[in-house]
Amino acid sequence: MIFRTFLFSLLLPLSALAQLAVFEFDGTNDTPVSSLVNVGTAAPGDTLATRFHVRNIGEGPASLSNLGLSGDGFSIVSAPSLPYILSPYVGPASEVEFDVDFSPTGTGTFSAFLAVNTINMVLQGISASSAAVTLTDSQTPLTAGQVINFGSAAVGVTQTQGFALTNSASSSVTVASVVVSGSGFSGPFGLTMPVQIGPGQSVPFQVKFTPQSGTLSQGALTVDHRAFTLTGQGLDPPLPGASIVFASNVGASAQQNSITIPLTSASQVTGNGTLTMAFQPSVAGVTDDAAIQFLSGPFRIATVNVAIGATSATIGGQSSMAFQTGTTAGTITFTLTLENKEPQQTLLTIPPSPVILDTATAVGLLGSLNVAFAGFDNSYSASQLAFTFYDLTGKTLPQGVINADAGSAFQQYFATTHAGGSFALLATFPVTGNSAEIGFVTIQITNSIGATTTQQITVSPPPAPPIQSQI
Amino acid sequence: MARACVAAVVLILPGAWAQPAMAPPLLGFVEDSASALRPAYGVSGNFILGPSVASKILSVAFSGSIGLLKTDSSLASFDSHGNLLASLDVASGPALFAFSPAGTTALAFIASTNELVEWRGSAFAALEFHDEEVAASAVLAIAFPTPFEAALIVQRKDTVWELNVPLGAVGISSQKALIGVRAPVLALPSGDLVYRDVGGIVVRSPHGSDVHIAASLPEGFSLQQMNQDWVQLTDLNSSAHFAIHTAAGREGFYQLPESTR
Repeated sequence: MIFRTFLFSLLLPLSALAQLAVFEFDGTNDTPVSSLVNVGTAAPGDTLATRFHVRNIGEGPASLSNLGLSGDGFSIVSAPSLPYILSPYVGPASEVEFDVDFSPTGTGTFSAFLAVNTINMVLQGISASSAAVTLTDSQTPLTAGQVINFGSAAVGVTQTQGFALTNSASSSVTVASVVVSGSGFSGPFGLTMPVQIGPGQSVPFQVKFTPQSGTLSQGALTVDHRAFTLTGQGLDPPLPGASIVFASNVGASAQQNSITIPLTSASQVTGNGTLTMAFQPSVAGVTDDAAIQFLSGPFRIATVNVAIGATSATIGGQSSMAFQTGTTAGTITFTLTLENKEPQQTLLTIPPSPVILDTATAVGLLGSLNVAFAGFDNSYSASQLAFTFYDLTGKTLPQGVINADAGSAFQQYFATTHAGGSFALLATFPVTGNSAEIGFVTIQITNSIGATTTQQITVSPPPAPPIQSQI
Repeated sequence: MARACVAAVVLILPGAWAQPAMAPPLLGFVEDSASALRPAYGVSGNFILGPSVASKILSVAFSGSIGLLKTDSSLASFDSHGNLLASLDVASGPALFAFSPAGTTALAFIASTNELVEWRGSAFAALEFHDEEVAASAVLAIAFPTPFEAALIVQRKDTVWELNVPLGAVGISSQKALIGVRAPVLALPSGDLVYRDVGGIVVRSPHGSDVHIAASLPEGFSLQQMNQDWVQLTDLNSSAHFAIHTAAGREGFYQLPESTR
């Protein structure tokens, strides 16, 4: 045992003695030191590190020119090159650090003399006989402060690390306390405190790491007075697989459809992403159809969210997202992008089709007959029109089928409209004779895919002029 | 004789195509979530909203040829291009609208003052309307079946009633219970009633036959006529708007694109 006592101005703050001030640094905070610094307790063979910060508390530059340590069991393990010029303290970056290790070789009380320029202090450490702490399958004792890394584990998954308390001395030692602390760390398991360990005996125990979040966790294993650092990386479990599912897989124009995003299993994590839609027309010269869009929220992009426990994602805050397929042939591409996952795409092909007529009316007027119809041509290729008129008995009128090539009219319309392939057309037929004798009309419209023929459309009489109440 | 007339019909093709009239199909006018009036184009299942033509509207309806809208302080009519035709200062609050069967004249019921205003095709005219029995708050919808009569669809306890009110006279000329009809309800110029049931929307013809349109309906909504065969359904608790196709044989329920983008 070595015991030395140094007597200095114990009652005076050391910072008062010089332009420099010395602080003990615990990794977070600086604490001013007095003339006696207790570095703690370590077992023989352990190393206990103490970190010091030196500040310039004056108003001008100061030189750290002397850093001296003498005493068994203590050593300076990290220090700046001297002389070191310190600027006046304005924050942590303007101070300098040096570290002292206490590594007792036997039991007892150890002291050392530390000088920082003209500031003198005594470092004191206690060495007590204790069991060595080792990792399972290792004979090398852990030193106080050593980091034990549990590696990575998914949130909720437990990693177990085995330890042993070993008494290599010739007499029994008693370990009074083994404590595990820190988020995600638990234990010790397999120990009943206090533990008496005979000479040459070992007592195993376990510490578990079960991360609660996908972050780095830090804890401590404290065996009597010795603390060991525990670390472990929590990993968020991956989002379950997700897919794009249409309410209807029929690819056709003028359809309102909807998308859901089911998950392969209940999600253990939250997740975010986007669902976008893009359209590539298959009609030459056409670049887009603005009617192809999501029916709520932004035009062609929706946020996707996955909640913990959810078996499907929400799209734009809803369980499903409605969209419409427009009136232009082509391919709608849906892209689902979720964080940490490869984007996935699902295509909905809208094939070109014959013209679809949505409405058709015919009105007999004085001297003319109006035939109006509306629909869409998703190939933008409508050309031939054919009208067949019938009398009130349903018999074809003598004129037979009246054909007209409306190709250029349609091309001119499609080139300027913003309504995709949808159109409304009014055909006015001059009539001689009594138009009220015309009972029905059928319309045939042909595009590059085929011909569409309506059923017989009843010719309505002209609307009556308004009758006012005149009250 | 008829055959002779038919034989005299001449259809002159070149005249039909001298000026082919093509345009985006107008499905009607809708009130968007920002209380703006916008034309709706397209076909069933594919809707495109045009630019706003009026703002700060409280109520709107369009017959296919003319429309009425109500702002906080005025009643206005507009044509199928969205052009303002006439306006009239009226009391604040929403209005109910009804069109004549031809869709060229219309009635407006100003709920806050319990008054009727007629659109006569070129101008508005306030109508005498006296019925102390009818609480304005109970009027769900109105109809304009004849030029001389209005129909008020009212809620009386658990039953919806149709009260026929002669314009310019006092009292009710007739009334009948509309069994099975639930609010909200809209009366169309055709005489059809549009209302909700458990599984969606019902279109009841004047003859009493019902057509059910399956739909997942919001909890609270209003109905407005957006064209002859189209009714707008507005979710009162969100920005969602829907369109109901009421044409016989073409009935359907669709979602309108969100307009505020």
